[in-house]
Parts: sequence; C-alpha cells; structure tokens
Amino acid sequence: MATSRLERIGTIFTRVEGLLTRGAMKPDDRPLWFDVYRAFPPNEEPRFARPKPEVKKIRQILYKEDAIRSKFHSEGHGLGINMLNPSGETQTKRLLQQYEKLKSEGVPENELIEKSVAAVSVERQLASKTIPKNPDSVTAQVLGSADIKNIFKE
Amino acid sequence: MFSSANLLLILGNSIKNSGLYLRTNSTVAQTVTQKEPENTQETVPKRNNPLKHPDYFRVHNLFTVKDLFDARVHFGHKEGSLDEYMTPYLYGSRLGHLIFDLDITADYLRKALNFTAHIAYRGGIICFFNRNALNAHLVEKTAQECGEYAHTRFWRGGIFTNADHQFGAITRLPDLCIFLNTQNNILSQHTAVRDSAKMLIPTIGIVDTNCNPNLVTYPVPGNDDTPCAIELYCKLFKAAILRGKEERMKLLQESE
Repeated sequence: MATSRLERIGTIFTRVEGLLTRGAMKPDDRPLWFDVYRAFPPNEEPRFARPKPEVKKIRQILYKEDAIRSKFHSEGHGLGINMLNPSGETQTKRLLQQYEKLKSEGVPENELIEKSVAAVSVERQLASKTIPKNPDSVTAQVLGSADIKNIFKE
Repeated sequence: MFSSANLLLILGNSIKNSGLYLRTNSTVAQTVTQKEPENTQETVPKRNNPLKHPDYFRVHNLFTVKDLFDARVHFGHKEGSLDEYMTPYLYGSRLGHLIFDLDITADYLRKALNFTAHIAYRGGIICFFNRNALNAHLVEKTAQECGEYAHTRFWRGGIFTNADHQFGAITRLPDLCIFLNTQNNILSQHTAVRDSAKMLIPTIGIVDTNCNPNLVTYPVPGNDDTPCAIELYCKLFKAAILRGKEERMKLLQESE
C-alpha cells in the first residue's frame, strides 16, 4: 500500500484522505476504519505537532475540614485504613464526625481532639471484638478466657 | 501463552490464499447497507446505516461516572511527572496527586467504545496492548474471550513496520490497537503507538498524567496502573466488541 510513514505530519486520516483525493489509493482499498473515523472523529485531531494547551494553574482540591484533619494527623491519629474493604469509613472520617458531634455538644476547643480520639478508639475496640459463632464450644471458652495481649508475661 | 506474532502470521497466510478478502472487507459494511433497502423493502424492516446513528451499539449505557470513580480511574500520578498535553483533562490536584475530571474521561471513553464497536461490526482485527506485567494476564484473557488478539510482551522492533519480512509472508495488520497503557516503563512510550501511526492503524489508549496523548487517535484520560481500573476497561472494551460482533452476525444472517 502506498502510504507515507511520516507519522509526525498530519494525522492518519489526512494522510489517507490525501491518497484518496489524489488517486494514489482506490476508494475500494481505503482502510476499514476510514468511514468510521469520518463519521465519529475524535475530539482533538491526533496530530503529533499540535499546539500546547494554554498554561492554566492546576486547581488545588481542598476541603473545609482539612484544617481539623491536619490536626489529627499531626498528632499521629487517623491512620489504619483497610484498603481491602474500601466500603468502610476511614478512621479519619470517624474522627471528624466525632469532632463535629462533640463540638455541637459544646465541648471546649482544647479538649476536642483528645476526646474524639478517645471516643473513636473505644468504638474501634468494640467493633474489633470477635463474637464467637458457637459460644458453647470448647474453643470459644478457651479463647474467651485467654489473655492474648499478655501471653508472654509471667 | 498468546503470541500475537504467530497469530498475525497465520492470518497473513490465510489472506494470501484468499486474495480478495482485504478488498471486500474494507467496504463490506457499506455495500450491504446500501443494498439492503432495495432487496428487502417489504419483508424485513429497513436496517439503518450504523454510521448515521450517533450511538448505534448503545455503548453509552455500558458504564456510569460512578463506576469509573469506584474503579479509581480518577487517580493520576504526582504533579512533577505531568505531561503538558494532559492538563485539559485534569480536575485538580489533591495535595500533590493529580485527579482526572471523570466527566471528560467518560466522554472520551464513550467515543473510544463506539469506535471499537464499529470496527468489530465491520469485521476488523483488534489487538490489545499492555506492558504492565501485573495486568498482562487479565488483558490476554480478555482478548481471548472476545476472540481478538493481545500483545503484552517485549515489542520486537518492526513487527508492524517490517511485518512481511519478519514473518515471511504477507501479513494482515490489526485494524485497531487498544493500549491499556501507552508506556513501556515510566520513561518511554510504547513503540507500537508510533508504529501504528506509521502504518495508518487507529489507536485507542488509556493515557495517564505522565503520558503523551498526541499520537493516540482516541485517547482516554485515566489511571492506567491500578488493576481494578484495567479490569473495568477490559470489561467495557470486551462488551463493546461483543456488541459489534453480535450486530455483524445479525447482518450476515439477514443478508443470507
């Protein structure tokens, strides 16, 4: 097929169109995609040497609650995201909810962070406690009486 | 597991045996649609020309913007690696990480899916590309499931540009290349993007914020690294191809 391989000149469409209008390519031999491209051209011409888009400042995405969020993070809270289960709320989101709740209850500003961290950690401990499926089984009884945290202590 | 080079060679041989195939192939859809109204005006309802319809294969209902968001398509790379040509597709930057505008992405993706369906409808050969080892198997499996081809390994130079010599026979090249990532590694673009443009093959490419979209015919701005995003793209392109093929089968059965 007589084609130009200079991919930096024009586009694939203009190169085929040129061959067709000048008779170097018979209309029957036009590529399969040609009519589809003509009917549905891409939003921008796929030209290699296209003018650069105008330089715009990239918008910074910031939220109102970022100020509070940064307070939690600077104190080392707000970690512990379960990436395998993205449907659950993150620790930071819970902290923020707790913060707002306590604030509306009228807790003083300097105690807000500490109190919301304490409330969320209690919440987490309750949630992480496993409930045995069969409480009467021997396994459940042994596990219930075992003190896993102090297993190496005398 | 699935070498496109051998498959192209087989195709090349089969083309050689039936020399007329390429010529009829390029115009088959049009000739049939033009003849249709004359032959079967009363028996079969008139089949519209798919190119006149803005969304003949109804690809717009394949996904929603929420699906894109859930598949983490909006995540780009960090600001420092931004390609200037990608700025129009951005929504903003969240603490240094670029975020795509998914409304723009959805528009581009729908255009790409529509084009894919039309190529499949016309009996074109579609080849998937991907150079990320993590997603290679998924891409190859998708290609196999929709009866098309994949190339996810090292690209020997000249597979397109010197095909007849490399495979020792006249070789039919794909009619559409779909790139699920357009980079070889973080620094260099896949050679097949350039070679497709050289050989007048249209391309669809998922372009991340560090990629250059200029040579890609139908670029789709979006995350090209995360497996769940690639999974979504694979699902969508597969669905579009199957819709195109299904319509083609209907057309062939009607015209028989």
